[in-house]
Amino acid sequence: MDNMERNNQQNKMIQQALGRMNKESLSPDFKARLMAQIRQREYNREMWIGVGLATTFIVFVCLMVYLAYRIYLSMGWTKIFTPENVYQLKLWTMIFISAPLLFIFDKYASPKILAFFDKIDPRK
Amino acid sequence: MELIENSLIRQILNGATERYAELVQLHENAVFALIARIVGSCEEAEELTQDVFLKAYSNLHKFKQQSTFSTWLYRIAYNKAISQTRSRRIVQLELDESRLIKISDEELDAFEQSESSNDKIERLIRAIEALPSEERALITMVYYNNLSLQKCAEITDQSLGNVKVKLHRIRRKLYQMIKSENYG
Repeated sequence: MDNMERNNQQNKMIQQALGRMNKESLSPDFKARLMAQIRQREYNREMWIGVGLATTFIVFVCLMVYLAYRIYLSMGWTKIFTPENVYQLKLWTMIFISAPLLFIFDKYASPKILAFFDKIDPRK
Repeated sequence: MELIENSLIRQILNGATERYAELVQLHENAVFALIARIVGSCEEAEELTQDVFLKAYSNLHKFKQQSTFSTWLYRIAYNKAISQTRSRRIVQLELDESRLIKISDEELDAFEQSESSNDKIERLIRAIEALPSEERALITMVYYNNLSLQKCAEITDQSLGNVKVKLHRIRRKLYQMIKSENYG
C-alpha cells in the first residue's frame, strides 16, 4: 500500500469517525435568535449614539450660551451686534449648526439612502 | 461563493443588516460542526457558535478581504473554542513520544487491514475524543470540514510545514491510542 492509498484510507476512517461524533445539529430557531440579538444590539448602539449626540449638542448649546453671556458681561449687546459682527455671527451659527447635521447625515442617513436605492435598482 | 460573500458583506456594512442572515446560513453548520468537535458538547457548541457570529458581525468592518470570509470566520471559531476548552483545564492525555517514532508505516498498514471497520471506528472516536483540543480541531478542519492545509495554517496561525508535521503526528498518535487503548 503506497503512501497516497494509506492516507486516503485513513482519511475515510477519520472522516467516518468525525461524522459519527456529535451528530446533533443547530436548533431550528438558531438563526432567528441570532438575528434578533443582532437587531437588539443595533438598536442599543443607535440609541446610545443618539443619546451621545444629543448630549454633545446640549453641552455645545450650553457652552455657546455661557460664552455669549460672558461676552455680554464684558462688552454689552450693543457692541456685539454691530453690522459687521452680525454678519460674522450668522456665518458661525450656520457653520456650527450645519456641521453636526452633515455629520449625522453622512454617518447614518446616507448609507440607508444608498442601501434603499441599491435595493430598488432595476438592474439587479 | 467568494464574490457572493463579498457582495453580502458590502451590503451589510452599508446598512442592510438583515442580509447577515444569508451569511450565517452559508456557514452556520460548518462552524457548529467544528466547535462541537472541539468542545465536545452540543449545547456549549451552539452557544459558542452564536458568540462567533455575533463577534463576526461586530467586527465585520475590520474584515479586509485579505483572506476569504470563511477563513476569517473559522479563525474566530477556532480561537473561541480553544480558549473555552483551555478555561476548563482538562487534563490531556500524554503519550510516550518515543513510542510514536517507533510506529512504522507497515505497522499502520497491517492495522488498517486487520479489523472490522465498525469496531475500528468506535475506537477511533474514543481516541479522537481523548486528543488535546488543538489536535482535535486540526483533524476536524482537514478531514471533516475539508479545508485545505494552507487554510488550516492560516486559521491556526501556523506555518504550512508545521501543520503537515502536526497532522502526521496526530495520525500516528491516534494509531497508538487505538492500539494500546490507554486513553480516557
